[in-house]
Amino acid sequence: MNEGTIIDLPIWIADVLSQSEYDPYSGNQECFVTVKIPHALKPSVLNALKTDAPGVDLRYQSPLFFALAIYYLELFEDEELETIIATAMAERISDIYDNVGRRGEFVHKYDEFEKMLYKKGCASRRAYKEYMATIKY
Amino acid sequence: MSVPAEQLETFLPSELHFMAENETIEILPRRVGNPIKLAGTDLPLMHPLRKNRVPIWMAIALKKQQRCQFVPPDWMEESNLRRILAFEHANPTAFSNVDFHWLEIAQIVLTTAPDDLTSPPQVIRNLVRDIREVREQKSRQGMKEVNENMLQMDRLGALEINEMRPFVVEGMEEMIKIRKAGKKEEPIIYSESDNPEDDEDDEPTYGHDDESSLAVPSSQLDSSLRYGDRVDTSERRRELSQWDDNVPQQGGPEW
Repeated sequence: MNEGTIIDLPIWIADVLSQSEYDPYSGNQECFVTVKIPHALKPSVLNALKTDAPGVDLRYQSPLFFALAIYYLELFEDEELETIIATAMAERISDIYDNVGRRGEFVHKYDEFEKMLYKKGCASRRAYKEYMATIKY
Repeated sequence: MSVPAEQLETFLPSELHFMAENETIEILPRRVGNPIKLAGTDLPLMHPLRKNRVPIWMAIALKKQQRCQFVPPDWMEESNLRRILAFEHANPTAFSNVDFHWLEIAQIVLTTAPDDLTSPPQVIRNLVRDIREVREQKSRQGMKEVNENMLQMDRLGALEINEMRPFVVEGMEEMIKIRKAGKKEEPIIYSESDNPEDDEDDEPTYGHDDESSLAVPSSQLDSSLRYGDRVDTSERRRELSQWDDNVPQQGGPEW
């Protein structure tokens, strides 16, 4: 592999490689790889999240979008990205809470974390409804 | 013991129902009953047609034996429920002040003593459901304010809180993760010279048995200060900085 090649790697490999400071081939002490921002966190997605967070199809970007964002933020300090992700998540969480108990296409836009959240909300809503339905008249 | 996952993070409505049964309610006994001493509560002497306040579980048992009549709580009167509903409609950001276990108590009274209500039970049930729906709508609005630090909704009932608990807790935990990932703190490193005691014996010492492991000798700790006390932080900070300045001297100033 030549120097300057751009390849897709799992983020945990990028994590390890970006922390090794020694390049065994050239012997220089700089970082072995430079990590670019993941595709899912590219500026167009972030702009969409800024304008209309609940409408963005996060599952299409990455099924583990928020997990990826958290991993990336752990590796690199990026205050702007952190703010965008945190506000977007708050907006999306309140949107999911609105959708709890409903069914529809919106579920396909959720990433894994949001799906889990949606399922939890639905489960407790169901438990509540079953309880309230114990009166019969 | 294995507990289903959903029961680890929240209560089942039936569990809250059980807890609500320990609240008290007024009853009109139909027969004389001797006072009973119980652990926690004492049951009073009961006279026919004299109001008595007893735990709900007791009232349910007596009602099932046809020995009493429920006196539904004030807020379960039709007029009061209408007033609560009007308040809920009129205030888009505040919840009306209802009993903490209002939904469960309404459920209990409606199931065990529908004949003791002053209005038809269907009317009461529909009013309770309407109030609950308005409050639910408001709690959805309140969720828009969610952030990783807090979510405040006053005067929600036990069942209402219980319903949103797994969702909110999980959501806020994920938001905290983002904030934590963004903030990299310097790891706290304790130098070995701080605690010379540890070098001598290999056994680690736990707790604060000896004073040397405390950062501040206990004689200097303000023993009059208890958890929950209000402390004027500005004065405290001044004192602390004073203490910092005087560290080289032997023995700091009196606290």
